[in-house]
Amino acid sequence: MTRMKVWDGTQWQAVTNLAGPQGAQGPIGVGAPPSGAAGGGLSGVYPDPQTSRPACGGLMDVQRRWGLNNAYKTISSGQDFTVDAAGTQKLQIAYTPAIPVWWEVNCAVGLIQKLDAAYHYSYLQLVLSQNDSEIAFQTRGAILTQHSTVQTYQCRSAAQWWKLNSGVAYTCTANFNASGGSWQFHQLAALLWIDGRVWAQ
Amino acid sequence: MKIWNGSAFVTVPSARGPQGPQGVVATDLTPSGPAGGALDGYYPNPVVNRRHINVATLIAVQRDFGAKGAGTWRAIANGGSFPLSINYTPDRSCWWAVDCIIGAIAKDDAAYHYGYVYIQMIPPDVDGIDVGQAIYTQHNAVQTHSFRAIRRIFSLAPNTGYTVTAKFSTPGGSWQYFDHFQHLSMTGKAWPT
Repeated sequence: MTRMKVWDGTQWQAVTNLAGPQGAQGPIGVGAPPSGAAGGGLSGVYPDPQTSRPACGGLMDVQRRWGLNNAYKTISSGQDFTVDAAGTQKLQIAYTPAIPVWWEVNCAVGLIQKLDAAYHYSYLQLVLSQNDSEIAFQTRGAILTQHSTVQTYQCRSAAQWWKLNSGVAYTCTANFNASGGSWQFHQLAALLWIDGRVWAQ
Repeated sequence: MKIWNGSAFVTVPSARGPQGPQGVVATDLTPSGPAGGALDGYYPNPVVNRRHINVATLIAVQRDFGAKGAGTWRAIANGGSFPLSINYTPDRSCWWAVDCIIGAIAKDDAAYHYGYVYIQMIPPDVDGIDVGQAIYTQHNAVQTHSFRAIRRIFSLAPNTGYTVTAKFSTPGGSWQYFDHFQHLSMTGKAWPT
């Protein structure tokens, strides 16, 4: 806009006026999709969060281990069950939780044979590498008595829900404990396995 | 403002006033607009989008039981099947935990034989696992009655039909099982991987 000017006797002066009144205040803000990191039962970033597995109580992880050898393997009291012919790979699973969890471990030794003609008992034991976080125990066992001509072939199974602390590396190992005698078990995949399932506390 | 231009008063236009202040922040901060990710619908009331859910909650359960009523002792021979079977065709990769209990198996003759109960899944799981077995040696005057329990978790591929049955294997002898539903059960539980 070209300003009007007046001659004041010596020079032209631009004619100005006071500014008009301030405009009206803007409208109240309205809602919008949320943004930023999600929390609670959600994870990820808004507006496209994911549901949080631990917060929702879902199955967080699974571990499996099974027999790798279609043959018998001798075992003595105090030894761990193994899955291979050389006996170097234990029937064992491992887990290191990022949060406090329950660890549901299920183990089956489908065939244990007593080799000598005497009665002895033997345990399949699940051994946690350190104490459960709530109760000071780390072993769960299942016993049977056998004799080579009476209870020649028997199975064992054991299961335990372990309560684990976060940030600690745990293993759970299948161990054999007997009162004496000679024993063997079978390492076929259908006869030897250990499973672990993880749930948030 | 007006000025005299020598013959008439002329109005001098004023400049535009300053912009008004920003509106106040809404006190109602409820989000709005479309939801995404694991959510569907519109804020502030989105719903869980089950097609994209990232939680391994239990997605299916199957159960089969023995007969109702008083129950009957039934003969079973080598290769025979127990009346237990479950099926599942997952729409995604999942874990399938199968529990099978044969609560009462009787040995009828005075000789020692072992008897396997085994669960068999057809087809095998993604790692080739298809069988879980449990053995027990019995004699009618020693281990007259016994039971078998098998728990195993399988890894399933999507859009594949799986069936688990319970079977019996023995080298000899006469055997029976009790078919009452309190003694025979098979349960399947599925979680997404």
